[in-house]
Amino acid sequence: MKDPRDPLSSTLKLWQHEPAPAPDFRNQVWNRIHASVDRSSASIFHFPGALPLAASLAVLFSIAAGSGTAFALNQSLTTDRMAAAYVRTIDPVQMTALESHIHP
Amino acid sequence: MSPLLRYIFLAIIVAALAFGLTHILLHPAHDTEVDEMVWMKNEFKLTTAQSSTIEQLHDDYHPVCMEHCRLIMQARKTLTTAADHASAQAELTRLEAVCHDATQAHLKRVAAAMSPDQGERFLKLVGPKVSGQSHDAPLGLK
Repeated sequence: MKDPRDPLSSTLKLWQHEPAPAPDFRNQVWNRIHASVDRSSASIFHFPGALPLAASLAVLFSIAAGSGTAFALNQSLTTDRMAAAYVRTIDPVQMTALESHIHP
Repeated sequence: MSPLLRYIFLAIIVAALAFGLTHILLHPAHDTEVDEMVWMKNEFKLTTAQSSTIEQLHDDYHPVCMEHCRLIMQARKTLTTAADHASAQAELTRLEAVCHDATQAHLKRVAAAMSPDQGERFLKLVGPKVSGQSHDAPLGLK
């Protein structure tokens, strides 16, 4: 049962605590902010743990796109070169333009 | 850097690497050329009958081509020694135009031996690579 003469309640109401500010608090906060910015800009390949699937898909898509483009380009170059080689076997003007061409 | 920018950056790098590697590894060496007839058979999906017809066309055209070669070489030789340089040059130009027309006609015969769509693709691919000028064009203008 609560005693109305107990001074604890009134004492607690009057009690006030004013902690002293931590030394160099402001500089420490700014140092932590700067360190965080440096870390994020340096780690280009760092991905959040929640997004590995998106990163994997991006890599796979890029490999497919890059390889596919190169394959198509190679095919086109080969076709063009073979077409030119074929024409050189049937075009007298080109055949005679070759210095190595010796007419039978 | 935001995750989206990181993905884009990574995608560009990986795509460039994949392109470079594929291009280098699959690029055929120039000294490993395949036979032109084998290439045509694969490129234009020729049947055995079409291949035979085209080979026969090539065999028939070969003497014509050799004769054109001989005439052109003779005209070039004449050009170096001719007193009338202009007429010798005109004769060479005329012969080159004849050869051009004969080659184009041969290509059309070869294309006709293919399926219509492949024949059209063949002419579009090979036709512009024939040198010289046509009789239809004014002499001296290429």
